[in-house]
Amino acid sequence: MKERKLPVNYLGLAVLSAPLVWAIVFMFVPYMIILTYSFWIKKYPTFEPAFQFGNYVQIFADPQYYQVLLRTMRIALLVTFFSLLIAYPFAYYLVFKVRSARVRLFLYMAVILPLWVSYLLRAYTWKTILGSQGVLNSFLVWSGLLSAPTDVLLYNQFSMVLTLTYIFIPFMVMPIYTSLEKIPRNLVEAASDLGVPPLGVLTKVIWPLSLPGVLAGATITFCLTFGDFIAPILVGGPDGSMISNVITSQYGTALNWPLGSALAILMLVIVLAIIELSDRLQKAERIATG
Amino acid sequence: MAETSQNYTASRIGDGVFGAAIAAILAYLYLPVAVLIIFSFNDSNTLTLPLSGFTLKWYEELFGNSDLKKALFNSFYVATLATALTVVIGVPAAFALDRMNFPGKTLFRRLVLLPLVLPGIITGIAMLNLFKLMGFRLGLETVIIGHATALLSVVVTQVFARLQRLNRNLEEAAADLGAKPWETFFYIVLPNIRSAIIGSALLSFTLSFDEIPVTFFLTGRDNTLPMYIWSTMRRGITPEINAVGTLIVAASLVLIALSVWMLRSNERP
Amino acid sequence: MKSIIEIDGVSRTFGGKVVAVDNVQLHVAEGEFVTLLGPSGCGKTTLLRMLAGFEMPDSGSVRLDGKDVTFLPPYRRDVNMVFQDYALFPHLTAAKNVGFGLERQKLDRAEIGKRVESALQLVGLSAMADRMPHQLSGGQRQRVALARAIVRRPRVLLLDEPLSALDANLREAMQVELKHLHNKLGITFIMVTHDQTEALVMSDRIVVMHRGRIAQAGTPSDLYDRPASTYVASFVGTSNIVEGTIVSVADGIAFERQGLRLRCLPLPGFSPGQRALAAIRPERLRIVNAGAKEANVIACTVEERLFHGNSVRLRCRLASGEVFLCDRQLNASRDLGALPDAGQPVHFAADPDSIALFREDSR
Repeated sequence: MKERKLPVNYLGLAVLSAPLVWAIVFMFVPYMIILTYSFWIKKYPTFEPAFQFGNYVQIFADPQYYQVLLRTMRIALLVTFFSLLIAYPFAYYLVFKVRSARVRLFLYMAVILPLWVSYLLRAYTWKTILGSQGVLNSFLVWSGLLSAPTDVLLYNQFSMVLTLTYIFIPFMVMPIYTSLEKIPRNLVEAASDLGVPPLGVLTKVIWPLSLPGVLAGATITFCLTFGDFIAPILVGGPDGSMISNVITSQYGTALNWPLGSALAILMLVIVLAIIELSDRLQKAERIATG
Repeated sequence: MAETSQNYTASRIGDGVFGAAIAAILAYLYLPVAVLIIFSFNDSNTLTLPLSGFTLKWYEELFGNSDLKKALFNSFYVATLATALTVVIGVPAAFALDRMNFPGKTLFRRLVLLPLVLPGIITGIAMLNLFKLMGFRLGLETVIIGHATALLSVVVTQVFARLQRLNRNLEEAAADLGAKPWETFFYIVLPNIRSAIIGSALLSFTLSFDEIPVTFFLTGRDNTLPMYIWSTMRRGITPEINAVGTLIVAASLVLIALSVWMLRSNERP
Repeated sequence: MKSIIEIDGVSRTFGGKVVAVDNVQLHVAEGEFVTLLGPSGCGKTTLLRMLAGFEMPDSGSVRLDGKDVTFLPPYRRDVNMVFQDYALFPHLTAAKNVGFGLERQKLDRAEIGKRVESALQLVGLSAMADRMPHQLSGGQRQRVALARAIVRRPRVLLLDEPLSALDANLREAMQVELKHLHNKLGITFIMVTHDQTEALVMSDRIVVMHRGRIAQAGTPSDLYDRPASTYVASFVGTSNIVEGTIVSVADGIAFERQGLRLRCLPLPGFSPGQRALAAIRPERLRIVNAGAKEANVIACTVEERLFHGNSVRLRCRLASGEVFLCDRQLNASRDLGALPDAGQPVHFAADPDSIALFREDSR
């Protein structure tokens, strides 16, 4: 564009300066530090600067690490899948079946409300429910359905998926609900008018139009599950630990910050890749639907 | 005729099944909350059925617990200051993203919004590295900076969305009527994005109050409430935690009612 | 009369390629009601926004009352604007909206109250002073926007499609009201519109814009009767435009198009053999008998009769294939029956002074 004699926007600079400085000092620089550390070498009791990919090689060579990575991905996928399985019908019911606006708002709030209840307590409660000395076991024994408490309920991947799905469902319901609500009712009516049966309306009209919401919900649910480190400790047990727990121990007892940093960078890259993928799909979707 | 009535019955049954599924989902969502509350009044050291009797002793123990009170106070301190920071930094950031063009804007937006989906643990260790490198002593202040960084995205997204919906002509009209840029901001823009700021500040406060991953890495000897509960939990299950949980649920409900009420009196159709 | 607005050689390009305003020259006299007319994208709104200070020109200058305001921000200009969507502040009452500009001038409360009251009275909204914008109807919001813009007593009032959001009846009433307001206030009005009827009814002078340039500026009757180009002829009112050749320039100009021969008034700049365009207003045509002794008899076939209530439009086709329109006023109910039906041949007569001729490159 051509140069014009406009006064320098001092007000704009003032507005921008604080957020910009904050983003550089507390976000950009720290991420760069992790990146740098990820190339360093552990030299007990500390670590020394280097530029080598040993930490990354170790992650993919040592089953201890790459199996945790795979397990974390599997759990995140399962949680995303089950959250979608529950959230979609729920949001659909709210938007298309509930006629009263007040009931709809009430039910919507009912799903969102647990978000405000401490995350920690939500995970902890499942531990108290599923434990061998827990609420469910004592109920089953008391009612005579079981003769002795079972320990199959807790400390495995089932309890992990159950708890994490419970925790992250609101993040799935919100965007899906929003995208369903945005679908013009006359589109649904037009489809019916053109002879499309109710199931066809769902698969041919509603589902494609709600995909952006599904995508947004799936992205956030996957990413949040992927990085969780509280639920694995509370309900995960020995074979339920996830990548965050490994990072935590590298920064804690194992005292191997370079390896922890490499794991963190790997996690960052995976999360960024998923966001990028979701962005691309979102864009493609937008182009496809006009 | 017979066919339509059959269809009608089928769709009635379908709706019934659907309704039952919705009820089951709600049960799944609220069973843990119910368990939490019920056992906070149960007169037993273990969380087992059947219930053994009503008691308030867990609450009494709670009020006598000075560590807990200290942690609660710390949490208020951290959440209040972190929220203030997110608003002070987040509102100008949203404004810049919506209204200004500057080099590196895309990177800036990505950085600021990243913590929305980025696991807190990464923010936590990233800032731990920074503070260690700069020789900062870990404490509540480092936690505040960490929370503000992680929760900035909450304020930015909400305020940004509201700014986008705000009619740009309003600002032009104000300038046309002789309002200088800062007058336009304080008299026209701010009143119209106020509910978004209050709403996101409340959310930011709640999330900070509840935050663990970032706090885990950045705190020194002082505990926030979730960290205190976390450390108690690791020692074993006690109904005292249920009592704390019940109080948190109650406080959340009050906060939600408050914010809904405030937004309603603020928002005009 | 002295010029209050002097726009000299102003250009504005968006994004390096879209030329919105292209070297525009326009002076407006104090107290004039000038309308910028044109289709969307013609640059009229950009020009108005440069007067208000929301856009800065890439080149050229804007002077207001002799003072260069080209790069002055909007809040330092003595002009006020009525926005297309009114832009009422949703969080302020009608009275607070009107008073907003006065508060910025740091006037004392009593003075502000008095002036707000009288401005609201002027637009007939005294009773609505304490209503919020969302509690007002479209017409009432329009009046608040108007009161808000005039309460500061600007030298120039800018109106950006002020009536476009109103329904047809209200729009007509507001056209008259705005004109009265203009007379009462005596200040300069600059209005932007794409509605030619509105422009013809309200303005002292109309500036027709086309692709960022001024196509023609003049009084409404000037533009209607003496359009400078076929673009103006078809944008202001309706015109039948026929493309043909000049066959003679002796004793008036003779124009021909496949069996149609038109005799027009003498006009400089034409020579035989030249391609040209002839424009004839549909309502200037008379229906005559086939063999009538008239200067210009135009034979066509009626394709459709479009009934407009007070008039009827005959949609006909010339032998050469062009559509040709003729409007007939209906003064009595029997008039309609006297007109030819669809499929019938018809003959029109056009007086030489009702035909406008343009060179082919004038488009």
